[in-house]
Parts: sequence; C-alpha cells; structure tokens
Amino acid sequence: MRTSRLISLALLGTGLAVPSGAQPLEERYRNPSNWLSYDRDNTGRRYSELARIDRDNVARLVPKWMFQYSPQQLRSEATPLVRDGVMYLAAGGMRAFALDAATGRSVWRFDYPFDQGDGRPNPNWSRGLGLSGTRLYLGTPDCHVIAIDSRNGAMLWRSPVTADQPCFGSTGAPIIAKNRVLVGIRGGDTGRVRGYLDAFDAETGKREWRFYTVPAPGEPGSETWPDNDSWKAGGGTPWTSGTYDPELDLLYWPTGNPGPKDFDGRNREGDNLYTATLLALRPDDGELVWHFQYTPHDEHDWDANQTPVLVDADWNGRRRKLVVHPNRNAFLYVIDRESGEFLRATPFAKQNWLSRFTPEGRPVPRPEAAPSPAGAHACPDIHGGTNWQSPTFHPGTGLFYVMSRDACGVYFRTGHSIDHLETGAENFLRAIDLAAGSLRWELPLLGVENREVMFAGAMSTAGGLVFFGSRDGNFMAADAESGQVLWHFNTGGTIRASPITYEADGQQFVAITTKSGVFAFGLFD
Amino acid sequence: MTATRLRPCLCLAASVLALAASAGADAPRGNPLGRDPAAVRAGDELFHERCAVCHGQRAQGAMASNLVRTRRVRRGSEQSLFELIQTGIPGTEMPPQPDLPDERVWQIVSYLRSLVHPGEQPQLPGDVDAGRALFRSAGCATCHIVNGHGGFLGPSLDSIAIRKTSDQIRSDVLNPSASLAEGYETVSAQASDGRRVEGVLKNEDTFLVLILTEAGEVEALPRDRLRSLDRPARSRMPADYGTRLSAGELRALFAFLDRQRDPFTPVVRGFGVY
Repeated sequence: MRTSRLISLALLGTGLAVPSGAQPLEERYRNPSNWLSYDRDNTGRRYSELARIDRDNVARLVPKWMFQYSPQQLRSEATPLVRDGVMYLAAGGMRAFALDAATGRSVWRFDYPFDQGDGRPNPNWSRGLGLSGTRLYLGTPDCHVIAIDSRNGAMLWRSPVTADQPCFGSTGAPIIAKNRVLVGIRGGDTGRVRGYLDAFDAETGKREWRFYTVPAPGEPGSETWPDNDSWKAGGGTPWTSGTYDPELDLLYWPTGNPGPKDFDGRNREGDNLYTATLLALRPDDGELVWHFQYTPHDEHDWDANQTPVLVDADWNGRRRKLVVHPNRNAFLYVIDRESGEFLRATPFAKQNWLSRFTPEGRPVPRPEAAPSPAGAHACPDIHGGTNWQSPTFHPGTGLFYVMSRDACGVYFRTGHSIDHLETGAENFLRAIDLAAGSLRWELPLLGVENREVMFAGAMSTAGGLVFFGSRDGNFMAADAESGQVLWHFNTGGTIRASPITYEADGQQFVAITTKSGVFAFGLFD
Repeated sequence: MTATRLRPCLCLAASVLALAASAGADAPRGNPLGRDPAAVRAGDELFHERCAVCHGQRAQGAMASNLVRTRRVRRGSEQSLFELIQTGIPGTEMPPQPDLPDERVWQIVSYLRSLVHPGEQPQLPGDVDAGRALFRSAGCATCHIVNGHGGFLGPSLDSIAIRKTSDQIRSDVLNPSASLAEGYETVSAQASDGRRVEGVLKNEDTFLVLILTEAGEVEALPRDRLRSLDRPARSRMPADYGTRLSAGELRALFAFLDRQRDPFTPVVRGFGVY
C-alpha cells in the first residue's frame, strides 16, 4: 500500500534554493520543483534546473497520466502552472482545474459563467493562468481578468479589461510583477481596436494603470501616425505575456501589428508607434522608460508578440543585461535591456525583406518586399519566422532554441496574401549560439501536417535536454548540445502549447498541453 | 526491418465511413445568380478583396476557418450563407458587409458554393448501365468504391459529380496524374534492408511513414530505417483509358460517373491530427 502524500493548495515555504547563475531571477521562482508563471519565471527563459531526467535516461520516459477535458474550442494553448504538487490548468478562457500533479486527479474545477451562445462567440482559448500567493488569474473571452482562490476554485474578484471599443478577448497568460496583475487584449488584426496593457492590484482587482500601445494625438509617439483617425483602430495589441527584471524594475512587453491586417498601410503613413515594438515599462505606474520598434509601419502582420527573454551575459568583454527576442520578422534581436540599445540582429529563418539595419537597429527594407497591387513575394510568410510559442534559453549550452519557420508569401495590397500553400514551407527547431548569433543545429519537422503554421513551443532543462512539440502531435526531447532526438511520443492530438517540467511526489515530470488535455511524463520505474 | 503491419485496413476504412455520418443537405433556397460563371468570377474577385485575408486563398482557411470544409458552407442553405456574409458574426472578427448590395453578396455565395459543389449541372447523356458495367470490367472498381462496392486504394466516387464538374472528371480519367486527390499520394519506399514498399501515403511525421499497399496492408516504416522515399508526382491509376476504351465506352463511363451525386456523402479525411 502506498503511503499518504501531502500536496498543498495553500502555501509552503520557498523550498530549495538553486543558484541561478546570476540571472535576474525573482526569489519566488528559485524552487525548481515549481512552475509558477507562463515561462516558469520572470525571465522568460523557459529553463528548469531539474536534472533527474537527463540525456542518459530520457529514452525511458513514459506517460504517467493524462487529464482530459471536453475541449470547448479547437485550440488548447495553455501552459499549466505547478506549485507544491498541485497543477493549475486553464482549459480555454472559461474553465480552470486544480490537479494532483503526480496523478492527474482533479481537486476542483472552475467554470466561468459566460454563455458563448449569447451572440458573443469570442475566441475561447487561453494561454494560461497567472499565480501569486493563493490567487490564480485568468483572462476571459468577455475581456475581464478574474482572480480564483487556488485552494477551492472560488472566484475572488472580476475586473473589466474593456474600453469604449469592441472586445475580442484576453488570451495571454497574466503576468504578476510587484503584486500587480498584467494583462493585455487581442483583436488588433480587426482594425477595430486600439491596444493597451492593463495593471490590476493583485489583491483587490482595482485597475491601477493602463498603457495604450497607440498614443492619442498630442501624446509622445503620435507624430508617427497621420492626421486622421487611424490611431483609434491602430492595433498594437499586447496579446501575449511579458517578462520582468526586478533589479531594473522594468517590465518588457511586446506589442502586435498595426490594424487592420490588410497589407495596406496607406491610411496610416508613418512608423505607427508603438506597434510591433518592445516596451520597457515601470510596473508601478506604466511609465514608458524606453521602446524599440522592430518593424516600423508593419504591413506584413509580423507583430512582435514573441517572448522577450532576459539573459545576463558577457557581451564584447563586458557583463550586460540583455533582452533576447526572436521576432516574427525572422531576426533574433539582442538589446541592452537597461537602455534599449540595439546590439545585434541576426536572421534565424528565411527572409528576403531586409536590405540592412541602421546602427540603431532600424530596418531598411527592400521596397520590392512591400505589399503591392500585383503581389510582392516576401519571406517570411504571414505566420512569421516564428510566432507566439515559447523559445527557450539554456544557460549551460549558451544556445537559444527557437521554433522556426522557413516560408514565403505573396502579399497583395488588396488585403490578402497567398501563403505557403503556393510557396512551400518548412518548420524547424533551431539552436542558435547566442554569443555568435549563428545557427548551431536545426531539426526539421517532417510530414505534410508540419508544413502548416506551427504553434508548439520549447523548454530546456539542466538535464541537457530540449523538450518541444510539433503540430502533428509529437512531443519530443533532443540533446541540447547536439540536437539529436533522444525520445518522442505521439500524443494523438495537435500541440499548440509549450512544455513544462516540475517535481511531485519525489519525481520529475514533463508535461504538455494537447488539444483535449494534458499529458504528464516521467521515468519508467 | 521491423516495420509494423496493420491489418485488416478494410475494416478500418468501413468503420470510419460508418462513423462519419452527418446531416443531410438542406434544400438550397434561391440564389438568384445560381452557378452563373460570371457571378462565380465576380464572387471570386470579391472574396479575395474582402475575405481571403482571414479565410485564405481558395477559402481553404488561414487565420479563420476553412470554408470548403465548413458544414455551414457545404450543407447550409444559400439563404443562410447570404445572411452570414451580410451581417457577419457579432462579437467576432467576422465583420458585417453593410456596403455590399445584395447582388454582390450573392456573388460571394455563388463563388463559395462553386468551391464545394462545383458539379451542380445538367446530367451528361449516355448509356449509364453500360458505364456501370465498364466501371467494373475496365478495372475502375479495383481501386474505387461506388455504392458500397469496389477497392480502397483510390478515393470513393459516390459523390464525385457533386464534387467535380464533368470536365474535371473527364480530365481525371484521361490524365489521372494532372490533378492528384488529397490523401492519395503515390510513394515508393526502400527500407534499409533493401525491401521496397509501394503504395499510397496515408500519413507521415518526423519519425514515421504509413503506406497503404495494394495488398490492403498499412505498413508503418520508421524513417531512420528507410534508404529512400520517392514521391513520384503521378497517380497509380492507369493513364491509358483514353486509348484503351472506345469513344462510345468513354461516353458511357462518363455518363455513369456523372450520376454519382449522392448528397449524403461522409467526409473522409486524409492524414492529419484532429
């Protein structure tokens, strides 16, 4: 008979502290058993110090449990969170579960009372929960952020993330910084919204500030918009999660493309700040400290909604605080995260749109790549060199792993693009040497299904492994140094999420969300 | 070589067909433009101006759904499709089209219906019974099922005259490699032990290739045990029907195929994840 085991829905101590290699890691993320935020911690590295599962034994990985729920939508994109043996899972933007992380048995289930049949069938998917203390936070399809008690699933407060404009939902996993819940909105493609990021008091739900990603006339940055109403529907929605440096006290949050997504920017001449931009904001009041725009006047829907990863590293002989950003425009950017200074950008996927960068990092595009009435052939295609799925940085290998896509499209100014169906496409897991900016190795993902757009992400561990998924449902582990695939498993449902790892009941688990549930794997024993 | 052999694949195929039953077609309610070629062309242009940005080229899906596979487009009434386009879906990114006159909306309906039901046209004349006999004697039934009888290497032809125009059917018979059916790609694999496996590619991923052979077996071949995987861009179907059959026989065969308009046709999809 098995002995009883304690899991905790409340709070235990901070647990084992593991040296973080002088990375800007918040104290609460130091216990490697837990996975407390979308990309595990505030740095966005999606890297774990857990090493029980390693290169030598990963071939013995087997499914330990699966948790299935009725999918309410075709997309399950959530990253589960784990604390003290309990997994917290968002299943769409209307349902959440607490599970015993060692067995997959549920402890409670939360259903958000929102009727999709009431004429507002907004996209109902979520990339996950935020967690602070005994509170979980979730963005909802009706543009609210809610707090749920992690102990029993009760709703504690519900605050609107709405403005005087249509609501298209809040799908990014909320991020917690300095007792504030940060959550953005989606819908920039529609040409009907002006993007913003909201900050709420984590205890009360009171909104403390809002940062509009498109300035109003007269505000700084408004000079990059023409003298018309295009700013009112300027998009730039921050629909994914950001990262946070506690030492510099700066949030790093990427924004989306200008709206509408019609490949025709003639009604919004100018750079269109702060779309397709990385924002460095003060968490206390939303003050903009610096910004870096990757794709000024974006006409290809390349946005910037990828994870800004915080890395401290030697750079030209000097220790620097960096933010590394694999951008949808196919370039991997390295930026000084203290000052916003552009340091380097190197292509990690097929591109033909750039002529050169200025020393300040402003791209000088090839005019032929701009959408035109006759159609312009440009790479990457509309889905980008990568997309919102998580990259990962492994401090041991110095490699940055990006789910990458080589594809070109034909962009018509009339509002449509011919995508990869006509021009061919391939997806890869690529390992990029951060110091050199060059490709170390790549793993092609094969088969017809894997030529489509890919939203499966990656995660790396101190066990010398990179875990990653692919659209066809395969979940895989590769040697982080060599790229050799050491283990793979067909989950049988498409993967549009990024993996996690944690410890429960003395074992290391690796888990991934698939279309209809979560798979958890551990070593065969 | 330790390729897994799965059998019997015929049972599998039959159960998929049985499970995939879906609702019958609504009676189409009056698109005044019908399938008028000029309306279809105009709808095509309009679709690419306004809809393709989300629904993709040829309506096969991009950020928004694949309309060719959507039940509402395939089976819903033309009136409901008209209303959907005109009013959009409130609260979603599907916008209304208040500036479009009714005729322009009907043009989009004509275009969409031409994609999913391209073959709605007068029946071809010819000796249908003789065509039915030829379908068996000329070997078509070796690979194609009609009315519950036939082979499995090629697609079922029960609704072929709904899915395709008579010109497309003619082209498929006379020049089968010109337009290959999705999910029926011809492949030829050589295993590392030298054994050759030929057939139809039913699935593949980063690690595995599944080939349906003429024997009705699905062979699962690990990629790391393959010496080669050739994908000749040609159909396994004989290309000589145009010379082997007389003009009268072809006319009868086309008339028979043109009668295959069963609207109750389960959708059997090729490989993918669902």
